[in-house]
Amino acid sequence: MNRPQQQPSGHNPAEFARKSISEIADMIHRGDKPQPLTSDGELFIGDMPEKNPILMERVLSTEVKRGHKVNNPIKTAQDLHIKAKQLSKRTLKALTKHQPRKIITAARIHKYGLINFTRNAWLSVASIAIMIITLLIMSVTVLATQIANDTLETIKSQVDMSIYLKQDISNQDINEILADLKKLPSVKSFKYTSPTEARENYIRENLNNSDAMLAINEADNMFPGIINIQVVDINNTLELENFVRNNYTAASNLDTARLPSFASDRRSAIDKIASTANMIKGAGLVAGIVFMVIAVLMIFNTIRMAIFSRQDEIYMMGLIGASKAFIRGPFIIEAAIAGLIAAIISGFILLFALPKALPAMIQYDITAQPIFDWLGAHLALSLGGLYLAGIVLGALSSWMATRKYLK
Amino acid sequence: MIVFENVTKHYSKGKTGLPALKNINLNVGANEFVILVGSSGAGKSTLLKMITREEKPDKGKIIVGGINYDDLKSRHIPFLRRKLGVVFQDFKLLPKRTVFENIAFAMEIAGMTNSEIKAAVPKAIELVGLVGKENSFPSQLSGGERQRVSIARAVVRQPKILIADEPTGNLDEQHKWEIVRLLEKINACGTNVLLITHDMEIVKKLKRRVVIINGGQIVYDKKTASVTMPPQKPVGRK
Repeated sequence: MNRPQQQPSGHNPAEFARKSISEIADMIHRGDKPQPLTSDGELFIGDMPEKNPILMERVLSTEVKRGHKVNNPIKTAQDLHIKAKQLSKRTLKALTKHQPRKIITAARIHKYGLINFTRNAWLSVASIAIMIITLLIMSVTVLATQIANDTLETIKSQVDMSIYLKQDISNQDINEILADLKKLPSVKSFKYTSPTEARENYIRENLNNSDAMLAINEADNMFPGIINIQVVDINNTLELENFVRNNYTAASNLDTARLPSFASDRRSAIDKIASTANMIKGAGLVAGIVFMVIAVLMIFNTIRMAIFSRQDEIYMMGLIGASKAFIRGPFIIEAAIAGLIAAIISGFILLFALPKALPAMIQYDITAQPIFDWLGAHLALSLGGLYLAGIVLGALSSWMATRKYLK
Repeated sequence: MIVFENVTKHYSKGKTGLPALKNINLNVGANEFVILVGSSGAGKSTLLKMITREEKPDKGKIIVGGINYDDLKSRHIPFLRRKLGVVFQDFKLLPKRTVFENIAFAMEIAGMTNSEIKAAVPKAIELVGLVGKENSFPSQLSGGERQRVSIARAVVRQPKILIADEPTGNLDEQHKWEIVRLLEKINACGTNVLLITHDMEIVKKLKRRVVIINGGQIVYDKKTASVTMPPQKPVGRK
């Protein structure tokens, strides 16, 4: 145990330390030789806790116990100031040199995140409940948008353009028209029904209708040849129109009694479907974004309220000397756990509820099957995405909510 | 250990009102026990907040443990605070942590190992006489017990400087003297103690260096046995 060395009277270190810098400077000017400035500065340095015995075993101050050599003895007030400056910088450097080990800190942050989560049980349950609702809203929004789009695609694909051809069209002309049609980029697919086939189809559909059968047997075959065309975009039929108007073979073989559908009154029906589909798509997108924003805000607000009620805690930790990461970390872990649990529960709810909703949707001619098939095929991916969303939303909200109190 | 040179602090923005602290010159040597006395509003808490760097001075120089606070950057502040032991008037315990965890927290943030913590915390608990209460939560403790947890947390890191802000403020007679004796014990172990109080009984009985602060100024600084509070100066705007 190092006992303080006996100092000549008048140079008692405690007394010296009590003097202000200007007093010491005065002493120097008077010619008194003060003790080297071991006092204030170096006290923190040799004082890293791991080097210290336990408090009760420690006896006295370390102020004088290092009577180490001073290279630049203090002679003037200027020296003193320089020395004090060096000391301050050196002490600060020594102070911050001992960074807590990252691994220990990380482990503790996780530990306390978990502890906070369990000890703030009610708060956690409330956050989880809100997050479940929000995650469900988000999932359903994503699904609904996709299903709406799929349904619209189905409806649009069912809209086809018909070109009616003369009954006595030659096979060569037909093949020529079909070959040219194939070259149009705006045409997705087409199907040709010859007049004979059309008649047979009609007979097949009307077998039980004796009047119709009678009529068809009496008359010549009056059915035109029909090309049913599906275009890539029902709003863009210009190319097809030009083709029909300008292609010599097509134009000369058109059925004069029946105009192509994009030119007849079916045109307005097609246009209506197209514009409605676009509007629904746009509205769906806007509604989706609005719901998403509401969901994120709900989660953020819940976490923010939870942290608001604990701002004193944050402040206290800072006063004791906790770093920002150490204060914030457990809050982020806590919210991330809540987010994960909420995501898992939402996942279960969706797994249970969605298959029950599918038959009903199909019954109403809603094209839900493709997205359900996709989800079924990518179950791990979609559930993983949900979990990730829960964790990220929780953690991010927590990070943002604590920022305010960690200035 | 603690040096204040011409420290002045205004709280009001326009700096027109009376300062909370005015030209404070204070020099506390190592291992000293200083009692800081003053009525409420005199500037005691502001002085404490200057040391813990919750507040910055408008003017003047503060050097604590050799560190000139002008050199402090915000990233240094946690490190500085880890070197100070502060007993807060309102304890500032973490409500959802047990006594043990509250005390251990002070060491954990400094990155000490679990074995160090397991060795030091029980001794600190023993020192403040809370053996058997390790797993209680602050809400299950009496005011005096909470105060002692706060003290244990402050000393467990073996700070060179212990600042106790009204540690006896909400204690009964018996507990009050227990705490005072505890502070003396800590001081005897080589820690600089700055006791902030307005309890004149303690001042008279302890016979330590007394610094009286009034209206933001130091009006008395002596080791004495017979101190009487000076008449209070008006505080606040005139």
